[in-house]
Amino acid sequence: MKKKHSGKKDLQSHKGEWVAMKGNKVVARSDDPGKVMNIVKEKFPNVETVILKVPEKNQVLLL
Amino acid sequence: MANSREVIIKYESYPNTDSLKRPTIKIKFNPQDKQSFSCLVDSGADCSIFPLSIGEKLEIDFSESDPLERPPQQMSGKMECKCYPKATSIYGPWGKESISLEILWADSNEINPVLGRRGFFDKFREVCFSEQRKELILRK
Repeated sequence: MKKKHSGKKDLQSHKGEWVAMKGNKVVARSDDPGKVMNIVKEKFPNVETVILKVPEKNQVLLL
Repeated sequence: MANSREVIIKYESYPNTDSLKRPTIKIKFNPQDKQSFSCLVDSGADCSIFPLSIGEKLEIDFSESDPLERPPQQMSGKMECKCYPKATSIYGPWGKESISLEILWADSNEINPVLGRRGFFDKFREVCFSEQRKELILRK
């Protein structure tokens, strides 16, 4: 079952996913960043958003 | 004290997670865009890398780009996805001017966007990391 985005200031439940954030609020999520871009363009065309990948682990070593 | 040829960017962590603060920069591919992308600034990376699906949504033309025969090697081994090199203009907190950067567009959504040394760090006189102050400093 697909998870809904939380809409909260909390990224714990989005680990490993791509999310779009409006301020500290998650407004879109997906495993595919292209889909996140589509959602944001459709729903928030004139709003500043930041797209990022939430690391799965708390510490990152880019290997 | 910051001057006009110096930009100080505070490290960021992810809201309400116990992740560490990291040197990240928010970039845009078009200054008029409302969407920006958070990238890790990685002094250990030779090149910059982004997921291909983002490049495709940005309508970057990859039709004449062939994947690298030898994708960059990760410290733990060879990358298992195709990488398409393509120069792209990026905009960020360093000023109004764009940086033309060759990005490796990797055919994987597992890739974390990274700004590496070649083509990015070398656009600045100095790139400094202050772990004590949790700041990234770009000096022109």
